[in-house]
Amino acid sequence: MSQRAFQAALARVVIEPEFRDLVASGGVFSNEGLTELERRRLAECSQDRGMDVTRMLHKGWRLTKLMAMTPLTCAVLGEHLIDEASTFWRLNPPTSLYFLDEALGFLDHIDASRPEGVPAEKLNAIVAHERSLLKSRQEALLTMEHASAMPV
Amino acid sequence: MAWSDSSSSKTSAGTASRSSPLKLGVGLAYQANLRSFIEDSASPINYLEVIPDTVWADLGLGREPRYVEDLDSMAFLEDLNHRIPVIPHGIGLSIGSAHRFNRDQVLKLAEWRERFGFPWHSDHLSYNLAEHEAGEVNVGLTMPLSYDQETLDLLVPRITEIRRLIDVPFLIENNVYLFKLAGAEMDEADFLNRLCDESGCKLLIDLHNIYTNSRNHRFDPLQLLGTIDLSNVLELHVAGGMEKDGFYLDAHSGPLPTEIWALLEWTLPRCPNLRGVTLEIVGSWVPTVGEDRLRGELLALQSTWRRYQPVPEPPQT
Repeated sequence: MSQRAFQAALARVVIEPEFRDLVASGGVFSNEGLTELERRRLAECSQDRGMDVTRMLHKGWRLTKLMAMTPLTCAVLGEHLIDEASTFWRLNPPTSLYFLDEALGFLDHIDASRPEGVPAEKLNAIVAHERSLLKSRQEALLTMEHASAMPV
Repeated sequence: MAWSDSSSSKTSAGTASRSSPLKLGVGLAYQANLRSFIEDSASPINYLEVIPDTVWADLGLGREPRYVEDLDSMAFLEDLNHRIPVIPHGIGLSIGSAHRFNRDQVLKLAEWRERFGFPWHSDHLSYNLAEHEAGEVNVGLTMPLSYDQETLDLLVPRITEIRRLIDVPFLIENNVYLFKLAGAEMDEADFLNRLCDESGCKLLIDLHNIYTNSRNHRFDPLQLLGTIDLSNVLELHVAGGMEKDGFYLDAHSGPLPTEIWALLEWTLPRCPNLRGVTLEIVGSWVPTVGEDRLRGELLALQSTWRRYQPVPEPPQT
């Protein structure tokens, strides 16, 4: 059981910046099921500079998904992209290697968040356009009429 | 199917050849934007390695069908497989995930084995799936496993099952890691040797992973290679990388560094059961490197391969 708990905690260190900061600072978190060695490993990993680079690669992977699948939305968001993406990632942990569902989820997030400083009419039109394209791909994928795997 | 066995210059066909201990030569990792290069019969490649997760979409646990293939990519691969072997190299198995075994993916690969007749297949010594309050997360990276008995106990029955379901060698690739897990019970070589002994798997040694780890964690790569049982190695990976924030990254971003050529020259003659050396490059870097340079790298790999494989006879005294 402890290996399951350790892997889950280490994954959180990579994908959740707040959790990484908490562990690195010696803060209190639910670490039931971890052995003493695993607690030490987790603390050391969270403080390791290699974890910074690991987190950068993880964020790059998630950002690539959005930029590949929703390029126009990303372009319209401009300087707001990283803030919006970070909020989206915090609310939506990564569940798949694939791009399509995550991109559709991001468009839903942008619809709901309506970021200030971005021309609303233009953003709405672009989001609707890209959602339509992605939905078509999703339907094709699900019906297998023209299966098209997403890049990973 | 009519593959060319480069070690014997014979043409083999059918099921019998699929189980033969082929020494294939030099392979290339598949990228969609390299299709015309791969299709060119003059390209110096003896096999193509493909990440199956890039040519199918995994719709997730419980979905039926779960894996939906990209028809265009599959047609390309099936056509190519008439000329050279197409060999799967997975990233989605997450064989080290403690909470569950991704058995569906193994069954899908068994289906591919029937279709492609590949002579071996491989995946990474890592995990990317983990439990989470949201259900399950995919970190999207090859997360390191601890070199402990507990990890061996997790992996050995899984590999045994994979070998039962797919009747060709299953290779585990040594991982690249940017941070270390402290207090391991074994060192990397001891762990890999025991994993092979206890599970019957073979090794895909990624020389660029070893080089990357040796630079970031300051150790002698030859000391590690010298303690791995190289008779278990069936495939080598080579690639290029880049510096970022004081770390060297396994980015598959360009030509092979001089140090990789040196590691290859050291390793090739010491792997008696080696079947191939695969060059990995990320598709987005292909325009930067250029097909001419890529062809040059592959030709140089062919030349190096021929120099050392099969293993030269020891000098007569």
